[in-house]
Amino acid sequence: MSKKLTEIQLIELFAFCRKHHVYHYDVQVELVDHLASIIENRWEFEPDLPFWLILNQIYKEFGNYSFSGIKASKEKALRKKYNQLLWRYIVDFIRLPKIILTIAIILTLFSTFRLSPSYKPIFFSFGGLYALTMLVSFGNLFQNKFRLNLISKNSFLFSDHLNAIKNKVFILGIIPIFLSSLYNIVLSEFQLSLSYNVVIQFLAALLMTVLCIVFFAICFYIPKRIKEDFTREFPQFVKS
Amino acid sequence: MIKYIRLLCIFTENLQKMGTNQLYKGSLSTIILKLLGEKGRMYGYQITQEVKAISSGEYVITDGALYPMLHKLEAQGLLTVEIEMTGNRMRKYYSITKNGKKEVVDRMTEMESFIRNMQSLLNPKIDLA
Repeated sequence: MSKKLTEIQLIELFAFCRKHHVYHYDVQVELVDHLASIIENRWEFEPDLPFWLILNQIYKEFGNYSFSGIKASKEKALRKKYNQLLWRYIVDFIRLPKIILTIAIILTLFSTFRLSPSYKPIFFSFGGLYALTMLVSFGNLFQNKFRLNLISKNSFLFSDHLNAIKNKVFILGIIPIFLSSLYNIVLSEFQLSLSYNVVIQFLAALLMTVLCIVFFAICFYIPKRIKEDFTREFPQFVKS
Repeated sequence: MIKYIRLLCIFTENLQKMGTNQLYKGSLSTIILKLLGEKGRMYGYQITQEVKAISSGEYVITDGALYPMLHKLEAQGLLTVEIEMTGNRMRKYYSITKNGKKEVVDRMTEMESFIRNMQSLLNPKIDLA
């Protein structure tokens, strides 16, 4: 039976990848298997060759440029794959019951704007609720939504994607402020009044609804789906 | 099938020597797709060894060329990846997708017509009549 790599030697291969700037586990996996396959193949003919000697020879054959080239191409492919996954989550999220619910909320808000003598209470209550939710979102409750319970300290490109979404949550907090400033400018510039302008009333209802739905998708739905897919792909790294 | 891949390997080797980068990359991806289409799923190192064996050691895919190409084909949706535990380590297996199978048929047709044209250009039949 041919000689196989031990667990310790595999750990050393992962460390070797990290040393050569390949930090993500999902990128390292393939390189480690490739290096391990070459070493084991070499041992079939020369079983006494030391592990490190073969590894250094392989790296020389690879060349630093090839190593970084493989890393770059793998990261590019994985990023594309994870972006496609994100789009799939979004498509899955926009399904018929949610579309009907969205239309219902838009129409309800729009009718409220039409019937209400003043739009200010609606705006203030929405703004207050929204700001409160955003504040909580930066607290522990929502931070946990973005945390993968990993059993090791490995870094994954997959989880980096989750963190990238988390870092974008604050943009959702800026959007209403930006929109309210824009709204005030439009009102003063064109001397429009929300109470009499159907288009602005509809747009306000639409934007408020879309903002809430996007907030829900980013803070709850997408992290949940990422965790599910991550657990499916790397079950051995997730605490059960 | 082996004959086709062997022919492709020789063709690719020559392109590599001539330094025609785009053509070389195109042929390399065709070899990978054709091989996976015939052999089913394979991992990176296995592909290099299989190509080496088919071409009797004449054509060697370098690691620096193989993986970027595999990743590119994966990103294009022509290959799909499965990760599996093999012994004490994880292994990535590549398989061809439906789109990949279509692509390989198109590329083989193109390649055959290219070789036929080259043959007729390089060995023209002289009509003495």
